[in-house]
Amino acid sequence: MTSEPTTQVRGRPVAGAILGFIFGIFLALSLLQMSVFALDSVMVVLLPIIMLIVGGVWGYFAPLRFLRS
Amino acid sequence: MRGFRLAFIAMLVGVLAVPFAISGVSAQPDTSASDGSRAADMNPNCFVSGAIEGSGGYDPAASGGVYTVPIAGSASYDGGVIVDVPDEGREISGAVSVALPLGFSVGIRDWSDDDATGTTANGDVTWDLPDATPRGVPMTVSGFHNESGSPYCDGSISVKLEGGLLDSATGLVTAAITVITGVLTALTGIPSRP
Repeated sequence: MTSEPTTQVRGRPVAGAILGFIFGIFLALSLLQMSVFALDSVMVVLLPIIMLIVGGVWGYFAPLRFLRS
Repeated sequence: MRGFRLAFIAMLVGVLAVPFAISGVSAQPDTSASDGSRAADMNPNCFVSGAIEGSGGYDPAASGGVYTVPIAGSASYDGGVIVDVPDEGREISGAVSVALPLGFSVGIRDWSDDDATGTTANGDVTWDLPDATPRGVPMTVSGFHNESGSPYCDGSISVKLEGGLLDSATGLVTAAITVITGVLTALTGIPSRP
């Protein structure tokens, strides 16, 4: 009985979280200048935190396996 | 699991697309002085009004809308309180500030006097901000005035510089970094081999 070798892959949750956080900061700054929300909006603070979490989960699950040849 | 993956990809693409979807709308300058809505309660014994060059008049008591001002210009102001002033004067104080997230604020101007006799203030202000100043950021400017140590009136207006994200060097850099970090974040979704 033989078992075929499996290729293990892993995600990058830390990189995803860090980049997501930076992305969230600049997304908030962009949306501010698009007048989407005001300078005193709590979204200015929340968006980087949300993107930190989204980036971390995104990097952890690493769903773009089809791009890995 | 495949459905979860697709939902996640769709969500990230949606987030990345938001700035570009909105920029086409908000990049056009809004030159209206106000939207005609009424501001928060203002003591009828207080008044402040004026005119922004090129944008028309402003009156916080009549409108709570967003005032769009040019990056360089001037404005006149005329404010005051209707109050009985004793001969020896009375204690007054007040301040104007810009609201920041989580209740923080940055002071623009404040005043105080232990024996003030005046009841009005008027004049002109001019400004010429650097071209790199970010445009289109709605800011809530709040002010209050105390008479004899007690709150007498307060109010706020929303102000933004004309233009949008792509109308200043700062905005262009912000947009570029947003796109780059968004793409890099998306690329962390490609798994690495152990």
